[in-house]
Amino acid sequence: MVDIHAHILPFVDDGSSSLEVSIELIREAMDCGVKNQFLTPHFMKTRNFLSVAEENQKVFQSFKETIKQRGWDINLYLGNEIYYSIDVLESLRKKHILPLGNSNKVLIEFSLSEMLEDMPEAVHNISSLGYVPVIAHVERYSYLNRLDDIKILRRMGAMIQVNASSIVGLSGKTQQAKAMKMIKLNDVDFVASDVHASRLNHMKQAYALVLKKFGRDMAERIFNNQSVL
Amino acid sequence: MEFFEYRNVVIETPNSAEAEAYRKLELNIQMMSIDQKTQVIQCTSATPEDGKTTTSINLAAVYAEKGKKVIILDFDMRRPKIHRAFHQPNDKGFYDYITNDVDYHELIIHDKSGIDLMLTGKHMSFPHIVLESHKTIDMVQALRNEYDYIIIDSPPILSVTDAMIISSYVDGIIYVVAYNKTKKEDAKSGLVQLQKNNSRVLGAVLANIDVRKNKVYYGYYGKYTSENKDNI
Repeated sequence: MVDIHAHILPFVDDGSSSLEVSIELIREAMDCGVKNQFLTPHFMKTRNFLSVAEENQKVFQSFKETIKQRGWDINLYLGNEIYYSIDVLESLRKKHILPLGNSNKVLIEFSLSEMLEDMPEAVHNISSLGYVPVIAHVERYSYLNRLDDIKILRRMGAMIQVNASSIVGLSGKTQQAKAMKMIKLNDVDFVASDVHASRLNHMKQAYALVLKKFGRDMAERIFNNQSVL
Repeated sequence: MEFFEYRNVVIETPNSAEAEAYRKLELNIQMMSIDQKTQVIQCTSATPEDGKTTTSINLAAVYAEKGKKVIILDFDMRRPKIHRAFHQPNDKGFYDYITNDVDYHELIIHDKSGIDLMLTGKHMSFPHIVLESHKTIDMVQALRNEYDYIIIDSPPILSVTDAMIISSYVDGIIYVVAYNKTKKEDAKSGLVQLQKNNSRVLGAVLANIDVRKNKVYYGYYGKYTSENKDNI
């Protein structure tokens, strides 16, 4: 499995505040079957998560070494979950924030409750810098209910990520139904854990559910999307 | 949400009938400029999505093709679109000139098409105040000394006052009407407003025509002057 969205890197956002917890989160990911784990700390001015790439790289290298010493069979990559505003374009240019690993894909999120930013504009702006925007947990945006809108964003070049926890129904029936419908319509590119210390990892459960409902091809396509590696 | 993309037929399909229609548009503007210079050209329409931006970018491409130095100013600060048409990020532009005093030369994008661009940049409140400011007018005046042609993509006339403000410092206006879309009454009332403002309307472009279905009438550019206003 490839998990492109997780708040496991310690000390840099609200994901994990200790090394031990982060190690445990990696162990849980491995238990779920994750072989390629992206660590995507928030970059979000409004919540003061402003740890930049240079700082994250230092923590990441040290954390990677810790995992390596344990001999665990998991590849780690660094990225960011970027809360979109027009200012992040300059941060991307200056490489203060990072795409996912060595790919040209950038994980972006928006306000969950109200449309503060024009999503198509965001997709256009990030694409025109040469990146592929991956919109995080699309099913969670309360104002994004028209499934045709998802198709428009994809047509503009965006990729779509949904949370494993939404697939298993932990975010409510509405979000679960939305996520399932999007999978059915072939409009999901990645399922990810979005795991924090405070939230369990549901990748294994979600995989089983998708496997049962949509078959192995679909499950592999969205849980094991190698295009980001 | 709506998917849209702009086609610059003059660049993408230079031998097409559509591209030829834009070359005719340029020729007609040239003919109208024998006695009166037409260097700063505003593209506007009565209502949104009538084809202003497509007209702006294709006309600019004709000038670039002829080796003229041309810039497009995106003065539609409420719904900017030029950055979309040229696949450019829109985080730097006119906003920085107005609010941060950045030298406008640093904000001009030299696009690979040969067309220069001044995008809107970040969102600005009160565009009408900005557009009628000395600072804006000074920039347009200064650009006259640097470019052969300046094309201003502006908001529609019936929506906001911005287009009327812009019309006071341009040399001529191209009025875009979308075939099978713009309502006749809207097209007329937009035009009447421009006339009341004593604006120099160079002519109208009938956009949105499928050339395969309208072989005779393709990409028609209709001459309009204040004497034949009722023809529209």
